[in-house]
Amino acid sequence: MIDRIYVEDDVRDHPRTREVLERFSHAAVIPCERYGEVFNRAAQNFRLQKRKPALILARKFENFVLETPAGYGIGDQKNYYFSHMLNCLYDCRYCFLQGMYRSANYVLFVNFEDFADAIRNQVKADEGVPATYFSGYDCDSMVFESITGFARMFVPLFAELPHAQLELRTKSVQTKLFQELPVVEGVVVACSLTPTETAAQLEHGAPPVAARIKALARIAQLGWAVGLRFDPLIYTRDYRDQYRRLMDEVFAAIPAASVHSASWGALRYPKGMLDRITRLYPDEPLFAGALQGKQATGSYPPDVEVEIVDYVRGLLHERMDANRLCPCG
Amino acid sequence: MSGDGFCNLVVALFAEARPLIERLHLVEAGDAAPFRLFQGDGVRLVVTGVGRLQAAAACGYLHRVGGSVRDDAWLNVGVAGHATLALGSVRWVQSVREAADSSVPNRWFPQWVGAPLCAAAPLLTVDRPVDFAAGTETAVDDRLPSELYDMECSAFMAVCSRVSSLELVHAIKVVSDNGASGTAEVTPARVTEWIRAALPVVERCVYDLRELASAQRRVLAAPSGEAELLQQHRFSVTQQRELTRLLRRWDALQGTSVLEYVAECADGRAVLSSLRTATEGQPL
Repeated sequence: MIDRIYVEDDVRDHPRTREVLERFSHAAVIPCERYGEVFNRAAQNFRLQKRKPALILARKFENFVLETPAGYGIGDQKNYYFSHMLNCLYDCRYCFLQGMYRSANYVLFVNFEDFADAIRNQVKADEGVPATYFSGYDCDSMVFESITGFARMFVPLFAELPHAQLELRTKSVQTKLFQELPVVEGVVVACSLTPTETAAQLEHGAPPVAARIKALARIAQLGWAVGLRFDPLIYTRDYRDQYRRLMDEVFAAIPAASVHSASWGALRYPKGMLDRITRLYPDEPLFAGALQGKQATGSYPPDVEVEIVDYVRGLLHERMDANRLCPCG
Repeated sequence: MSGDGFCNLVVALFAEARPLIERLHLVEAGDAAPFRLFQGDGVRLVVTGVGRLQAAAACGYLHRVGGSVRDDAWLNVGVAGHATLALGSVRWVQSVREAADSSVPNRWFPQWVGAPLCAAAPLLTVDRPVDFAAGTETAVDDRLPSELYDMECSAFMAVCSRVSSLELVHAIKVVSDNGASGTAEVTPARVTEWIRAALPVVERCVYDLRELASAQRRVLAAPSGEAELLQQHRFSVTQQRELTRLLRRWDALQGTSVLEYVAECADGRAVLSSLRTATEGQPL
């Protein structure tokens, strides 16, 4: 339950601000000049703040659409991401956001229309070169949908943009929106999936994996393109059994033919980020074992990384066409 | 309460301190110079005197001399003026702004991560008393007439947010004067009564902050077995750092006695080698 909402002076009268404040009429509304006054200040502790994050309503002024890091994509020549929110409702222990920001507060940029304009401009500038726009990079695309109406606005936008596709990346199990909206070909609803045992240990507050699979199956049944995202891959003692069982569950519920793409990526951080996260959670087994901080990257040892990536890729190869498999990173 | 997290109470006046000292069973520590310090179970209290300079000095004193450590909780309790709120109204301070021109950031947003304590209000710290009954408040700032006014809190925030994080640094204010009842009518006895009436909120705040500080202390605590191993073997400074890191890994992964595991190790180097083998490369 959100009981503090910080509102930038500049968006105080924005219609989306008013809607959000109406939904949280019990919350203390605290004015600020810029969200940076509240978010990511030096004297903040992500772990403590995650106990009860506040919501910050703000305006984004620039960098609406950014290129993804090299290797991040699901098949298109160009790949971009855009972040209408920073931070996430869930508390997944491997999440890079906890090392990226000092603050666990949720930032919602209410000027969606400026994001939409920037996407249209980028599509125009790319002159017909196919591109994917990822919306779940700095947040979960869907988890705040009932509050933000983000997907309800952006899904129809991509119906107008023939060479662009939108990826909604989520762990949420909401299906209502996809029942209500007409199917848009250029939209991929992608779900992050981790073996059940690992999810229970690391993905605090997220819906159970079985519920995510069920929701994704329902969305696929409605005719939407769905994506499977095995990212990050977590190294456990019995990871082979765990990932094989996960694949069995997924493909028992979702016909391979209706899967737009499957991607996977090893657990990796910039070294400084891994150090920051480890300092926040020195008691977390995930960071106490196989992950190594060597030179610029924090990752599993190369042989372990290759082993787990090869294994999961093999499992997917057994079940899907190679042209829909996308290694990430 | 486990974990021994401390809450440092910072008050300007002894009249504000008195009910806290009585309720929390605090006893005076030291010789009252340069600031009066009181201490009890998990709580320290300093009486700062009026104004920003005094508050900053007292917070620094409490941190360096009074035994406070990094990531203790800090709570400023005191009276404040407000244009319209009723006398005795209790407010958690949602933001603190300093009226004086300053080249450093002069606004703070305390981050309360517990259940709401009471209604919230912004606060402006000024260097001269503002008498709402005399109608002088617009001379200071007319942007936020709903602000509380005090004379210490911005200094408290500036100092304490350097030694703790904003989830652990808070202020609770009780309205002592307003547009109908000016500063001339504020007496020590009335201040004491207002603070006494606010004690349920203050006590809950202290409890929650101590719990939070305890949780943070547990995270930062020395890993098990470290003190014993440092006594048993010689470690260079670099090796000591590695020992801490490896013991933390051991605690997270193994949950068994590290001292038994390394009992056969002949020296510090063997301890480190043994711990590396036991932790590095381990799957989840």
